Amino acid sequence: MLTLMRKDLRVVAGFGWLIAWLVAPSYLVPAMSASRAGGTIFWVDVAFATAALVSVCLLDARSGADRFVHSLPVTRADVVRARYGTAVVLAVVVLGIGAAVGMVRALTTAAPGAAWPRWFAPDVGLAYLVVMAIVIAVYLPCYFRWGYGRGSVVAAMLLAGLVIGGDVLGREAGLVSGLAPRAAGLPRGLVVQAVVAMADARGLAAAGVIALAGAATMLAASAAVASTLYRRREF
Amino acid sequence: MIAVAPRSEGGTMEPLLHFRNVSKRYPDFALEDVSFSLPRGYIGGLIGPNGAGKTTIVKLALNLVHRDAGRIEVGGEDPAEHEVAVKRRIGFVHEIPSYYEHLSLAAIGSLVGGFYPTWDAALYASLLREFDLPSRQRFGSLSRGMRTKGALALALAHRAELLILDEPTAGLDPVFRRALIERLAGYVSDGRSSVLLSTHITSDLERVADFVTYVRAGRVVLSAARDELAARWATVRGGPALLEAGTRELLAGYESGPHGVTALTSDAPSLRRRLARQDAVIEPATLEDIMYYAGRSC
Repeated sequence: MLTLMRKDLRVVAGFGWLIAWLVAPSYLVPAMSASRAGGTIFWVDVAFATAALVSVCLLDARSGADRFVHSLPVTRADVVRARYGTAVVLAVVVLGIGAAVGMVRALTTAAPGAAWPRWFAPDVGLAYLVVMAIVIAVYLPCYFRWGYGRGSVVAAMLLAGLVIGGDVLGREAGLVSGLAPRAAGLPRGLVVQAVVAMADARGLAAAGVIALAGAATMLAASAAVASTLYRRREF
Repeated sequence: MIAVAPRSEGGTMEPLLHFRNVSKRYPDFALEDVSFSLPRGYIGGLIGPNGAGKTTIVKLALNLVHRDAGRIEVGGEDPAEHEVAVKRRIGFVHEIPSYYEHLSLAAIGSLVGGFYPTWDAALYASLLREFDLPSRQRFGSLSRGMRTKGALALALAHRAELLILDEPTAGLDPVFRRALIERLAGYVSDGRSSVLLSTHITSDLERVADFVTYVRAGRVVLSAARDELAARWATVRGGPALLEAGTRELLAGYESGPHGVTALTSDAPSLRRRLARQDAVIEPATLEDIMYYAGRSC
């Protein structure tokens, strides 16, 4: 599994320069603008990590390399598990890049002694990991069931449905406004606000354990579904 | 056709690859009841027209597709049950090698090497040099022949017990094609390794194959040692008398026209005895003859 993950990361690293050129402006523009733009950076992180994951899948599909991968001494289950591992590693790497951008911005623009921006805080980082776990848990079963093209479309529709549905549900139930104080720069979104509210209520450590355990459980269940869907795949 | 002696002195008849009554059904094609064996230390040829099912057989050996019935063993292990162990024994070259287009052969080698405990990086580097391949050039920019050579270097560098080559000679220049065939003969000379060469270019197999399996429309038409084929299969040319009762039963296929009848037999000794006093020419059948005439009656 680790060899497959190294393979995935090595393959996507081949496009590192292209990704850097595309992503750097995406970070820099909101990072240099008003304080509310911090929320934008959060969603840039999510978009960047999702794009990196989709790129790994695209590279397999576009070059026909999936047949090559499956002729190597690996099982279909190995490939599924490794892709989940790669997705998590990519999400964490992007979180690190986003944190580095945020730190640079805070150090260069914040007044001496002032609190750091709300969006650049551990509880929001935790929320990012939960959001990415949801994205991965939805995207990869679709990819392994329907392949890159159709799988990406189905996953995009499902994720859009979750975002819209979650927002509507949250507003109807009065959750969005009630979950957490709308601190300046706090990214929008039901999951973000729920995680931040939990951290406020239970403390960061307890909220971290609960959120990460939930994310891990969700990914494990998703990987089991993806493995089952992929078992009969032929090349 | 010349009878071929076993390639290896140490070759045994222990099967390295074994298919027994294997079936695989698609909506528009079915591979039915396929059985054949390839012993260690020998080269096996898988021949048949395009669409006959050769690539499906190769994919079944690698568990790239799932069989519906039958048993497959590679070194005594089932690829579906012991997938990783079986694939470590196999080096595979696809007809159109597909790797990551943006990576170089050097980078692909370092990726692939991690999957095989027996990977020999020095051997891989020397094979790239021997095949005149640019190790730093993007795989996507290589010609088809160079891609095949690269795939061959990858397959050879982990010292596979079973080398499976699916139409490898298409796209290769004649010089390298001949060198490849000679290399395959050397590859099995240790008596431990075998090669399964799937192709519809029968001249490649005439040079090296010890065993031949002929597949047509998803079924095995024949599977035999080359020397057995040489002894028993022949073409015969003669007049309409060839199609008379008693003789016709000895024919595996024929074609008749204004210039007479050309037929194939799988029982050359009997046919020679029967036609001893007739004006007929009997010659050893080439693999191409067998592919062309077997089952034909027009």
